Amino acid sequence: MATDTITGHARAPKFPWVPVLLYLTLGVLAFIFIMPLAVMVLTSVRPLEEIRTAGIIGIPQHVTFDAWGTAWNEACIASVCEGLQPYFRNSLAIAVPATLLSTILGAVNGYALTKFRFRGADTLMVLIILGCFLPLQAVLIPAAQTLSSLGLANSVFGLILIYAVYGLPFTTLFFRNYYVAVPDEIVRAATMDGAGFWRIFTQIMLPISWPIFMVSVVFQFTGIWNEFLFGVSFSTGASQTVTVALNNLVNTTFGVKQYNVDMAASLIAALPVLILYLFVGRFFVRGLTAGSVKG
Amino acid sequence: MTTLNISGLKKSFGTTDVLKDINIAVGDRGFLVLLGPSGCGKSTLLNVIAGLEQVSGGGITMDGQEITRVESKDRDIAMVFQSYALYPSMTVERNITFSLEVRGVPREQRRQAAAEVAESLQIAHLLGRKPSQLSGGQRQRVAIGRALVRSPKVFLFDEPLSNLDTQLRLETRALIKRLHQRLGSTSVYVTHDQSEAMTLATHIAVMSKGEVAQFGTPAEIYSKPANLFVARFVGTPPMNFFPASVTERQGQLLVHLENCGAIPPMDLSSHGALLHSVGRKLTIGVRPDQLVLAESAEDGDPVLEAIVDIVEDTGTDMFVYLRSGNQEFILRQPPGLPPKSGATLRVALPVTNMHFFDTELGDRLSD
Amino acid sequence: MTKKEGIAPSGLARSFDWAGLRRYLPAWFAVAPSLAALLVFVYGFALWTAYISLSASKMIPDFTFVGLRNYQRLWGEDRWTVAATNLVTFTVLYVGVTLAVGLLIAILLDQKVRLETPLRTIFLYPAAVSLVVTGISWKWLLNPGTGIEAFVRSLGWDNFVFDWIIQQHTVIFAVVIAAVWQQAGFVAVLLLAALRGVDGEMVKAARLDGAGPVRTYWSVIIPAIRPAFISAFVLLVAFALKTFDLVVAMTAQGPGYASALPSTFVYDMAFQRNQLGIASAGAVSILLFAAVIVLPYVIWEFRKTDGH
Repeated sequence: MATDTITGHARAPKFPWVPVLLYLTLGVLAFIFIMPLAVMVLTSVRPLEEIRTAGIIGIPQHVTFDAWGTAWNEACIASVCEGLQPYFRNSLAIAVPATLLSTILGAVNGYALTKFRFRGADTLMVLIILGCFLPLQAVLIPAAQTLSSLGLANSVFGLILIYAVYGLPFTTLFFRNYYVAVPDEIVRAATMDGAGFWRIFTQIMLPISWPIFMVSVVFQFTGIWNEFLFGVSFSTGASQTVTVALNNLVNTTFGVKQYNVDMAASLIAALPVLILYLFVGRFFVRGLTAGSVKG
Repeated sequence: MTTLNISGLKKSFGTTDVLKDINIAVGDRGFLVLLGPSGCGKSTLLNVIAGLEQVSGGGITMDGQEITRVESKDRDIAMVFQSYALYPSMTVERNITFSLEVRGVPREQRRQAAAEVAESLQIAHLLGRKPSQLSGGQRQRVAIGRALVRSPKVFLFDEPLSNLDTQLRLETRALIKRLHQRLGSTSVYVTHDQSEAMTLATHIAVMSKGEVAQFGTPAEIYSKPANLFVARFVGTPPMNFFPASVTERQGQLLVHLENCGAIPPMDLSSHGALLHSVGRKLTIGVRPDQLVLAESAEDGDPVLEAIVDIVEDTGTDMFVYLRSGNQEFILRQPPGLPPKSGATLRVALPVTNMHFFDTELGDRLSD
Repeated sequence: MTKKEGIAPSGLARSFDWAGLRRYLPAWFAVAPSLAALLVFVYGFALWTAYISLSASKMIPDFTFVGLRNYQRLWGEDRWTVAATNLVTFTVLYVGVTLAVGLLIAILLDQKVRLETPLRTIFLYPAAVSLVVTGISWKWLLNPGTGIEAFVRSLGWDNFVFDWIIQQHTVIFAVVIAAVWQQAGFVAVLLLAALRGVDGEMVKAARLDGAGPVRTYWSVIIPAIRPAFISAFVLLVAFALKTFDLVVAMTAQGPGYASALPSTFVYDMAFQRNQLGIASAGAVSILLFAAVIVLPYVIWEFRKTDGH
């Protein structure tokens, strides 16, 4: 029992726990975690009639994707009945540029402040990173007044600017933590080889940064796509983001509650980020928790 | 070819003075080793020479030209780092020729340069690999190649062997020595390992707390350590130190060993320098290989009765750890039958091989 | 740009170092745009909000100085007191339960289980789901008429009751459930990485000293991952203070305003009821609350590793 761990084989279980208890607990937890998604998926493919008689939790008797179609391009949000599709496009047009902008600037900041430690660099870093913890309500009113005085209220550009700026503390933090682990000697060697600030950045630092680049992109895209407070405050009508439109669709429907359409709409709104997690989630976790380069 | 002069150099971070008034000169074909414990300022000094750190005072000249404020890339200096500092995303070939790439050397010429350097370092077969696919020794060869390719006026080495295991360390040390013999380029080499310093250097600057404790050839450093710090730092096993005091009686200079019980004082009237130390604390240093067993001692050398504590047999040498009164010391013997622990040996301290230091000031008393 | 000198005065006070300046100039230029944006959008705007909170602004800005009157009115409002109490309850429960569940999942996954990758995906995916979708989905699940209560009753337990979401004094617990579901997996993954980083020799030493599994985790492994724990704690507190969309989508602050949070209060005051002064006073209160918790951590975290 205990003796095998003394010789230290990493593969052996750390403790001979009763496997049944272990897997039972994990199974129950996994069930609780998967349940909301399962209910949404199942309900979204059931006809409304069936939901009304059998409740929202249940196995579909008839499978139909009508609700998905309705949610995509027919459902009414306020008085416009075009489904989520126009707002989905708004969100893409906002999230993609804002994600890239904040990631690139974050990379530059992280690099400049960790590898060129001029006097005050540490103070600046703290000043920037404190922004991660800013409750956004604290800047809501000035931001609204600024956007409208710049003529950017209710525009895609306004939200791109807002999301890029408030994402900077996070992206800077990510790249800071990553670049701190890159040996300073690499930058010194490159300096002696004659490379300047930008050449070192583009030819030496960026090519080794893809793990943290991934983290930053996933984090920012998720955050921006899912963001609600700024979205609901700074975009109305046709310029709404998909998250705002979804809330309007689900929480302000008049007449008969169309559970299947609501669920389909929720899934559509969640889909891009879910897909992103499914494909690069592994890199996201690895990049978030590792961070050092072997060179 | 190239001479390097450092004069009055000062460097401080905030209120801490890391380098205080450093004066060193390296001549043509010189190989200067900066030797010292960690935190003595040797790496900072190297970075200052490289132009990676700014000085707070004083200056550096290369071949008589002031370079103190010249940017690193314009100094014609190359450096090999402890962690190799290879560019992780680039192949070995591109790592080696990156400095040429930055200077706009055409691709064909770069290929050729890389091939030549790789050939001389026996890493030609690795040119297409990434650093992560190389062993530590191979990485260090690439790092050396990166410095060689520029044919710089001065080579800098920052503890280049510290991350290698013993075998590779010896091989790479020999490689560096061979390269220096062939190219003759002026080099500055930082290490805390005194055997590296002794084998590679033409000149050693032993550093302590931001100052040069002694500057000289390896032989001078070894045979005439200028102070207790250098005496303690250079030599393995370290020099034995015997606390002592001097008295003068009827024109005779008598030296008493303080920790060794009742042994008669030595008459060192022939060492005139000791005259100034009468009444002061003295430290006598004797290297372990210069102690002898009493039967082969010369007349007049003081003899200690000492008890054997432990014996280390390295195969080529036998180090006998001894205790006499409160005094502990080490004796080197040729390999043979080791004395038993607890046995008593009679050891003589040869007066001719004694180093005298003033205990308080730490300085060597001139012979 | 004028801020530069303000931040690094010592650099200019010393003898002017042209070489140093030339070396660091590109770095300065590189961070300048971000720095300027953040100084305006974070620090400038926060001060601006503080300024509004001391003014007579209602629908339109009115910069008559009224001292702390907005704060007096704020703390006199029942709606705000409910919201502030809710925030404390919510933060304590959300942070505590999320850390506990996250640690449990992390420890379970650390037992070299089969199917670790799919399990991790299952636990992590809620973090990808927006709080709006989280709120919508849990609203239905917790609604006694449509969700879990109705389902369990349909299975035959006619007296089963699970109606936290419609009761004034329990609705905030319902919100906590949804919030924990959303973040616990993320915390678990962070802690799992930390667990994997614990020195294996230390664990072996503890076992040789005769410590059992529970004791080893409690006395050796968990203390060793304290830094990860503290990071997760601070992140969760920051999330808790930002929570807004979850309540809007899940309960619309109801029943009545029983599940209002300071964030929803501020939004309503600013954009629905045109009370900019009181809204700002609420926002500043949240900011101060955040600062008290987060500031010591950030300064500690970044001062200990940086600097020469």
